[in-house]
Amino acid sequence: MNDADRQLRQLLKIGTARAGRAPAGLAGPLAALLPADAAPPEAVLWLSLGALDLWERSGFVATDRPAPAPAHAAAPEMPRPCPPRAQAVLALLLRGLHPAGLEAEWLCQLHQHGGQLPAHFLPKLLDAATRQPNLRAPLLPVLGERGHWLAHLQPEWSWAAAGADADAALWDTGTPEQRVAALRNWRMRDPRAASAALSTAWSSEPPEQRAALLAVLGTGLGPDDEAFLEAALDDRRKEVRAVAQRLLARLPGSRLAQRMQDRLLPLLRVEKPLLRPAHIELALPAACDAAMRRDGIGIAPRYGLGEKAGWIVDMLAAIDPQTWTRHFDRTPRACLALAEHSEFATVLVRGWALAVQHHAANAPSPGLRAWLRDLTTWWVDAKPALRDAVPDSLFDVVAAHFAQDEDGASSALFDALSGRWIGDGFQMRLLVRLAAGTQQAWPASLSRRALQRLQTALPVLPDAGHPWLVRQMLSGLALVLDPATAAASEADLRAAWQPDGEWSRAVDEFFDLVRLRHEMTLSFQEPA
Amino acid sequence: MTLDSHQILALAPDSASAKAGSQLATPRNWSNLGRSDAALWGECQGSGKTPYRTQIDLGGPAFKCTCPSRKFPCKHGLGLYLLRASEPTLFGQIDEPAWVSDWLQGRQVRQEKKAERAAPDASPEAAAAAAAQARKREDKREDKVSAGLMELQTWLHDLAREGLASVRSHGQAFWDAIAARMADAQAAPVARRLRRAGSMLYQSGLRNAEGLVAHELASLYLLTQAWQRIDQLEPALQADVRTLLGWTMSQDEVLRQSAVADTWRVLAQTTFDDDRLRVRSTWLHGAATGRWALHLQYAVGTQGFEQQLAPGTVFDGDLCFYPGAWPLRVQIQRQDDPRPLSAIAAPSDFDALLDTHANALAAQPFLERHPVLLGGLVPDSADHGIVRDAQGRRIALHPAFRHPLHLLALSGGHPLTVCGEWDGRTLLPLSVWQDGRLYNIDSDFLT
Repeated sequence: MNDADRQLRQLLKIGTARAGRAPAGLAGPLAALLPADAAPPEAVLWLSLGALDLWERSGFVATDRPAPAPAHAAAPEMPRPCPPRAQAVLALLLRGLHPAGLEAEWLCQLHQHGGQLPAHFLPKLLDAATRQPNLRAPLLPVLGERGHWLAHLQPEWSWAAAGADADAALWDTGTPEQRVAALRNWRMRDPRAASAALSTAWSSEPPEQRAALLAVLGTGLGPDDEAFLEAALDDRRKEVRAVAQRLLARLPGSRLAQRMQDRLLPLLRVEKPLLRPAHIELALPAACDAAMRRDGIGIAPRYGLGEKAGWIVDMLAAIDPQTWTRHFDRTPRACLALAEHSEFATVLVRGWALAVQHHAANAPSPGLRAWLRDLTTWWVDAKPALRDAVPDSLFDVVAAHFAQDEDGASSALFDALSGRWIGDGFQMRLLVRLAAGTQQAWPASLSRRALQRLQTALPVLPDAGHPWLVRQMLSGLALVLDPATAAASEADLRAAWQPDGEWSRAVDEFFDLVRLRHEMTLSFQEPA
Repeated sequence: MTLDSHQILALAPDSASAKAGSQLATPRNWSNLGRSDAALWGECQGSGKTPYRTQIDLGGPAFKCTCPSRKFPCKHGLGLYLLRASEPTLFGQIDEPAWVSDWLQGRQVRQEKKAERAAPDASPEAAAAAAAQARKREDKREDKVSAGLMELQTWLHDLAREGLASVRSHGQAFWDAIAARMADAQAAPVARRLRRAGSMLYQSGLRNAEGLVAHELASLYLLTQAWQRIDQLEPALQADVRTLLGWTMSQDEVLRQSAVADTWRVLAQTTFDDDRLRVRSTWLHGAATGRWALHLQYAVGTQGFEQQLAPGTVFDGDLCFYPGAWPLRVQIQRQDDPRPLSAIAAPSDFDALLDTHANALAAQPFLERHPVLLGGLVPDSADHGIVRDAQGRRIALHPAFRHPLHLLALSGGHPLTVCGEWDGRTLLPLSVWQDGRLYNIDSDFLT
């Protein structure tokens, strides 16, 4: 009958006038339905079409083609159920009624709860994380078997289709971007196997892709990678050499760092003149030889510094800053004081800041945390010229570890803020940056300290200060402060400060957000 | 019953109200909160001096607020309901204040009046005169429709002679012209279908548009034939034909029909725009009778819908069916004790669906959608346009279905129970029942 329907539709398409023929009669019982007399062909055409359509729709026959292979199903699993109230909160967040960023926190809390993302949320969140890569890290651990299974079915979600097989397949056959992503996933799972795969393929890799591939070793960087990176220092392409230099400079105890130290130590000494503060005397190197260039000295210009001073910065940046606390036998704060009074203060501060930024990026040791803390608190009331020597990107590293406050290093910053910090653009910008860069909620003690400073500072908020920055800081803090502590502080803060108009709305928004987060935390504590 | 926050937000007339409502759901904004078995109430401090009095009749739910907003329910109503859902302890069980009990009583009285109004009352003479008047109006309308449909028939003959391909170049205006003519002939649904058929031709990305248009026009042609022979049809089918041509039945008239009492499960709901109207279509399924019922509601602009039926709930009630050869559409006469859905009927298999659908078409050949609860469906992981039944047979999904990945996510490659509409060729999934929970696709599958 399908054939008859097609012929009728064809006839309708060209028209009975042009086709010059009447529709063919219908077969079987349908023929009896049509008028037998000489009806116009157009009427017969419409009636046949209508009758056939009904005939087909009431007698549907499924095409009996079984699936080619036994359908592949997701492995069953029994995750800890996600409480319904938490699900309701997520549904609210996904409707886009609240500022972005809360989804990530929700996912982290689900992970802490030990649950997995309910299946009906998977497509929406996989889509969201495809567009916003910073959602991927919190999403991956809660995807579960179901989520990984689902991610295989949609090409855009291949980043979540983890599993050794998927990565190995992509590494062999993917586009350059997919190969980089696959290697990174692999590296997170099994650093040795991934670097082995890279070194096997290295000689056949197109030169223009080598730099991107080599940079993947930055994930899970360890002493095992040194030999390979050291060899890459002699690569023919400048981009590849630059990646190797950068990674070796970050690798604790690398030979490159040792060479830098050997070059630099003879140039530095502590001078203790009478009646004047001790400071570092620095002799600039005379020339930059081939060996120095191989290690990355003088490759990129350092803006605002002379050529030779730039070399010093390159050397300092490659040396673990803990070397200096040992060498000068002083705390990082005291080292900074030595630098401050030196003729080359900017050079030393810039070099150390870069070194701290590189070495403290992942899981900093207590020594490095001390450097992070001292550098930040020193920066807060340093001279403007010296503040500029510290690159902004350092504070992203500070922010990334700001929530770990067991040693009180983060709380120390709030003690260091000056009296009128809320009117100081530098300090405000630092706080905005810290709040924006933190991935986890701040612990209760740190949040309490921050709120105390806020409570005393807000009422004296000068109108001529930086209202925009203060707003930004408030909305940033609302997202990172410990929600229970912040919610509990509401009465005190509102008692201390009753602003009107714009500011009153800002405070309302601040506490609305804090309460929503509080509610979110509580929602996970409900029995499912 | 209290709904969960998701169901409450589904009541919001628009997303701005949903947002404002969820922001008001904090204890700080409220005072004098209370509840009784029938109602919730509270006072919300707005921008004015006196707080707004907000109250909710939990039976409906129905909302009332003293705020000047014309949205319904307003943000205060939503906020109060959300607050109840998130912090139930704030609402003490106390006596209803006068402003609450007055309102509840007023509602009660109005509902009784409504029931009274449903009963016919008039003196015999007046009734006879009114009937004569109505008969005259009716005759006039029938003449208009007859003339209009004759014209449509001629138009369709011309179209068949000329061919759909050459008509295509005439553009949408060609279709709008005949649609306007049908509107003049008081056959509004026919006008709407013609306009939509025309727009399908020019819609890019629609597969097999010409085939769909051909079938739609053929169905309209059959309708013109049915009208010409309406006296030979069964009375029930006559009612269907008249509905398809634009005759409507007032709500009161429907409510006078004998009602079907059952425990009705709210299985699926979609909300969509049709011209300037928002339409909410809800499928109900009777627990004892196994009958399907389609409830349609219309709202203009930011108005909310009058009756609240949350998918995934169940209520005891009496439904009045619109007359027809395969009655589906209903009005609700009584709706009591709504509560969360805990079980559904045993789903049917594909063969049973085909049988009932054939019966339905035999009784009412103009039927466009046929509800079904199908079990054992496995979404195909390679071809997202189909699902397979327990025997591995391919069942095509409706081209308008946009959530194949959500189906896959819920199934994980395992069988699912789906509530949807079958049109004789494709299945349009509307909700999924899994692990004791109903996922309503229109509201739970976020995109």
